[in-house]
Amino acid sequence: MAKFGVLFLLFWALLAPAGSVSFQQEGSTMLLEAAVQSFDEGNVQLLNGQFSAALELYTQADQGGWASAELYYNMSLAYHRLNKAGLAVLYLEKAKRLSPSDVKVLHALSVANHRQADRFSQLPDPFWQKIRLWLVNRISVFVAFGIGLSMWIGLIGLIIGKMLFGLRGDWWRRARILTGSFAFCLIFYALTTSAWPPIEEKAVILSPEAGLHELADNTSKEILRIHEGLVITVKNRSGDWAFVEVSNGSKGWVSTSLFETI
Amino acid sequence: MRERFFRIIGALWLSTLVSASLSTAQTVNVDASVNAKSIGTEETVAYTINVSGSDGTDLLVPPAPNAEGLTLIQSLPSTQRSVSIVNGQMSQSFGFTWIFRPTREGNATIAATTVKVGNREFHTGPISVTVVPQAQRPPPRRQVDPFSSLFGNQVDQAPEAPAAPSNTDLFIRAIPTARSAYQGEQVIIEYQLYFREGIQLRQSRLTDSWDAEGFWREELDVETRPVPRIVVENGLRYNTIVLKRAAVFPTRAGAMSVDPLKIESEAMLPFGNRDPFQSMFSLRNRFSQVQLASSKVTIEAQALPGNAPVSFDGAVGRYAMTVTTDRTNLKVGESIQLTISIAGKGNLATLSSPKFEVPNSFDLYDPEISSLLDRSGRELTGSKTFRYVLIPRSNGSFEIPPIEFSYFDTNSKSYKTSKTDATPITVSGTATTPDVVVATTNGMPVDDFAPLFTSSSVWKQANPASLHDRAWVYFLLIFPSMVLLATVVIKKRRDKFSHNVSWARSQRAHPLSKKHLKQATALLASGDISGYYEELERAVLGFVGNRLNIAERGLTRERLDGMLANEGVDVELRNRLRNLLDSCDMGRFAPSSVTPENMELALDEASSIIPDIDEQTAMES
Repeated sequence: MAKFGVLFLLFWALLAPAGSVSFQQEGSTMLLEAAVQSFDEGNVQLLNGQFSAALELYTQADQGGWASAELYYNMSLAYHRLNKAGLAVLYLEKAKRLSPSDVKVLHALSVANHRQADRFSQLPDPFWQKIRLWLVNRISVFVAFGIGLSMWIGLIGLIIGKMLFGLRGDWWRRARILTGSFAFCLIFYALTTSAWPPIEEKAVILSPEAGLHELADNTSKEILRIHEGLVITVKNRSGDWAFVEVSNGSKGWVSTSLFETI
Repeated sequence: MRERFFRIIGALWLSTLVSASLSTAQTVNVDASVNAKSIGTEETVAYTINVSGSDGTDLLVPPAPNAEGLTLIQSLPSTQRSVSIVNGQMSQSFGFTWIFRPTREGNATIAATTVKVGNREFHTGPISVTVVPQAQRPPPRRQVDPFSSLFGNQVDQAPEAPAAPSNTDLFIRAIPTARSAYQGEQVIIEYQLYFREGIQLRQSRLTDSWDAEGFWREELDVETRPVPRIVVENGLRYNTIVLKRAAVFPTRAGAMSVDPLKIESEAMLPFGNRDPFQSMFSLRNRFSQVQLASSKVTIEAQALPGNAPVSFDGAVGRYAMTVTTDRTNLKVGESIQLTISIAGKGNLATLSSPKFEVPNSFDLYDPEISSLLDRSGRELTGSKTFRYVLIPRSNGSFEIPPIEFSYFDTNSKSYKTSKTDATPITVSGTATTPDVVVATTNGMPVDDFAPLFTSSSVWKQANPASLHDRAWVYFLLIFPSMVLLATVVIKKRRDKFSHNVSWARSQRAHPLSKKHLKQATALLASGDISGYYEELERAVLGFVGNRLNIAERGLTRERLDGMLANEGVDVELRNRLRNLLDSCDMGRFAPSSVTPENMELALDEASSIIPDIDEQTAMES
């Protein structure tokens, strides 16, 4: 009886995620259809020069939980036409994350940056950061996990083969070591990169001007004055303040009400 | 012979070179100086006439100057000649020095004198010297025997403190080109370091930030390895170098000050009679720390006159404007580049583009601005360029009106206006839709976003759960391990079955007895009485045999009883078993005496005895 209980639990454990995924997918598909419809309607408004109306529809599409580089680009274009430089940069950066090499997005970003009041030099990223980014751009965590899992199953198969069918010898031993090592590395890479992604939290200044303070207090000394549309890196948060870094390496505290995370 | 020939040729070449260098020497310069402006009654003063720019052939020894309050120690001067080569230019100078001794306290004067170089006469100015009582002068430096340390005379070896230079030995002078200027006018401030001949400086650095509140500032280039220039200042000879040169532009009217320039340095005075050996091996001790600061420079800025032209936008200086277009014939939607370039002297950084109108059907984009500043001269010059992109939206003949640029000319102290001619533009082709704009090389519009995306094929979940947040990831990782674990358990059980017979029989006892009991039940239903009892006996005896790992065939009742007793089975249970086996024998061999109730009772008893024996034997083991 106990054996049946265990088998039932295993069966349930296998089926439960699949069931929830299929349920979620059904809901998501409906939301996606609604998002696409809002996007198309927003495009009509944007073409007619109704930028605020277009933005309302695009925001509806965005809130459905689905996103596309094209949606964010069009939102950015609408904000650009409404002279909201900070929000234009914010959505361009979002579009760039989804489609890093899109020519339109990159061009619009260069135009927006050209109009940005701050001119800071760019510090290079540390080499390990570059390596991690390079890896993530080439091998997604899901692909790495899939390959690692296949190898892990292969390793189990090889061990069972040794126990039940006597698959012994140097080559079988090497195969087990290699498969196990690759499986461990790939699964470790996938899980650690998923938990601690190499992309830092970035944000865009939305207020026309903002002070970078020495302490998380408006009365503390202002280190730097930054302006709308500047992309900053959020290092830490404390209440209504965030410790941020500007591209030239200057660090300071800025009120969280003055920026929005990408 | 040949060697001699080359020597003669070499000497000729060298003499030609030297004479050529000297012949190109600068104009003759004569100056007079003293080594100290204030001396004690028991001290002397050295008066030097320096002649530079002369090769010495036509230079006559000047006569000794007359003096009042001083008397000449020797009538013939001591002479010095120095040759220097700077940037390949050789120059030499001659010095004539007389030593005077004071005759009384108070002011003394060395009178002007005349120096003849060829047929030219040069006149020096009079120099005054103050003679004070000897007690007011600092004590003379110790006379140190340079050989005392070598020959063991170690008397008074305390280190002597380095002599600090006075304000007249070393100072910074701030020299502005003007003390009064118009708002926005360029004023150059040059900071020159003066130091007496022979003073050595090292490790000089700025100690404070230099600021000029109320001014726009631009730094000008100065020599990073300056060659000192010799000047006579107030009768004393100094070396001077330029420390800093800056162009400042007053941003408002009124009196405003520029901060002093402060430097810190280490200086070594040449004077003093020190032990030369000590000096040679302890140069470090001979330098003393000095801090120098120039004086503040105050500049009175006056507001610009009020009659400024309409096109004036704050430019002050001297400028020239040029306007060019890259083409004048184009099609609708194509672009024209209009370049306005303003060059001249003044504050180019704050210079704004001249305002101009374009035809209504032209789109005008923000200009691309570039500046080129020349900081190498003695004032700030350069140019600023504004590149505009214009795009006609309809065809026809148009005209870009004249462009005006006004500035306040600091030389003539008046406003001047530079004006271009109107530029005719011919646009051909047909009007296109408004969103067609000129494209850059990658097909994107100039200084604007590209048109919208009308469709989107790739949609992604906005905030998908991360890999590590999904439960199935961990299940997929653990499931293969569980399979492995199960395999290990099965394998071990299988091995035990094949290697441990008693354990295997014990494990099989229950299933076999159950199987026999099941068959017995079937036989009971079919009415096969002897078969039924045979299966019943086989079930019970088979179970006991497997449980105790004995062969049940040929086993007597007594032996069975004894073996069960050894395994800890109690008497009552053994009696029950014996009775059941007896009833089985009865049923097998005399089936007619058995009733169906007895058969069912036997089946129940067998079903009850098997677990009881199992329990008691298990407890014992």
